[in-house]
Amino acid sequence: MSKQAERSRSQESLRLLAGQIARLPDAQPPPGLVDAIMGRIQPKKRPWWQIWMRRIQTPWAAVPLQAVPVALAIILIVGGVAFFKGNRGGPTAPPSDHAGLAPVTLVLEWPTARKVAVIGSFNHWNPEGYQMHRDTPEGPWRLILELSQGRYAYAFLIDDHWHVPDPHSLLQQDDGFGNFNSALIVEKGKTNANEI
Amino acid sequence: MDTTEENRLINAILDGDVQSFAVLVHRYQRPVYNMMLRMTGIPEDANDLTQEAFLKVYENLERFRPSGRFFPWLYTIGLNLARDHLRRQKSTAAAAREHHNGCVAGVGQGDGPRQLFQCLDAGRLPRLLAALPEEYREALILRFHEGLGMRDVGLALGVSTSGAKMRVQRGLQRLREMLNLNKSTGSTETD
Repeated sequence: MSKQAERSRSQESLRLLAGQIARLPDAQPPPGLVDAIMGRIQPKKRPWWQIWMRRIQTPWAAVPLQAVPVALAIILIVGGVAFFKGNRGGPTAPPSDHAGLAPVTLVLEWPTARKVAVIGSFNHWNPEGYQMHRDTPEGPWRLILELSQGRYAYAFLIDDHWHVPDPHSLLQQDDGFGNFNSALIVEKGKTNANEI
Repeated sequence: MDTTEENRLINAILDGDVQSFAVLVHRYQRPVYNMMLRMTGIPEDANDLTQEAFLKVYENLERFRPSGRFFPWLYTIGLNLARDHLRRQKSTAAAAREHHNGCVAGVGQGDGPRQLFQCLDAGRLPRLLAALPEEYREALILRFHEGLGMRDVGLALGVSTSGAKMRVQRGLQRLREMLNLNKSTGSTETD
């Protein structure tokens, strides 16, 4: 066997093992655990200096009530100027939350499917606008998403009916309703759900 | 639960809202309890230690840095409590005492990766994991079972991101070696 084939087999066995760990069943914590913990704690009280520090660091908390209409007027004027400038057809900067988004390509091989969509915590499990496409009639389904840093649960919705976790994802989680979802982690502009 | 939501809850707790802490306990009781169970092997001890871990977190919540993630911080505190408990008990983890024997002779014929895993049913994997040193076992659980990124795995275990990657990689390799070893020697269950 060539070295490359050997390495590939080795990686595959590690991935299979990781997948088994992902699907390990958990023991259920005792039913009264939360109550037992909550019964042993008292409400916290911040020290006086922390309360004052917070007030200083939170400007609107210290603003007198009379200043509110003035602040609103300033916001309206600044917002209006920005609105008219933005409508002159010139180049516009991308929205500030665009920064840090990472492209994530999801692929599913399901030749017999008539249509496939991606549902997940990033679209509130709504398939609208998240239909997958394929280049050839038998080819794999694909969709590129742009996601910010975080952890997401997702699954494929096949022919509007079948809820299928991503077979390529190592991370799977029970949704509590009898379905399994896959998990995806976007970390500093990259995805690493399948990194071993 | 994302970091912003966690920070909002933590601020509310610090302002005196105990119910916000119940949300965090409810969210993280399962992984903490399961970690305690892996460490001690005794459900009653796991229950007590889980309570202690959350109480310690509550007592020290002022020291939590909002730039970090709550779960790795909680996990670190829980792990340290479990280690102290085991030292006090002067015993190794009950889980680690279990013998691990992966494949029974004659099962999983062939040496391809898929054949190797035919013999790894859900009951054997926990035993194999229990036999791994804690540093590898917890890295694998955090990475693949809890779905943490490598940075958070490192934070929870008190090592760098590259250290976490190394533990995950070596842990997987060790597990595979244990499977291979048991398969080649044809050992049987002894526990």
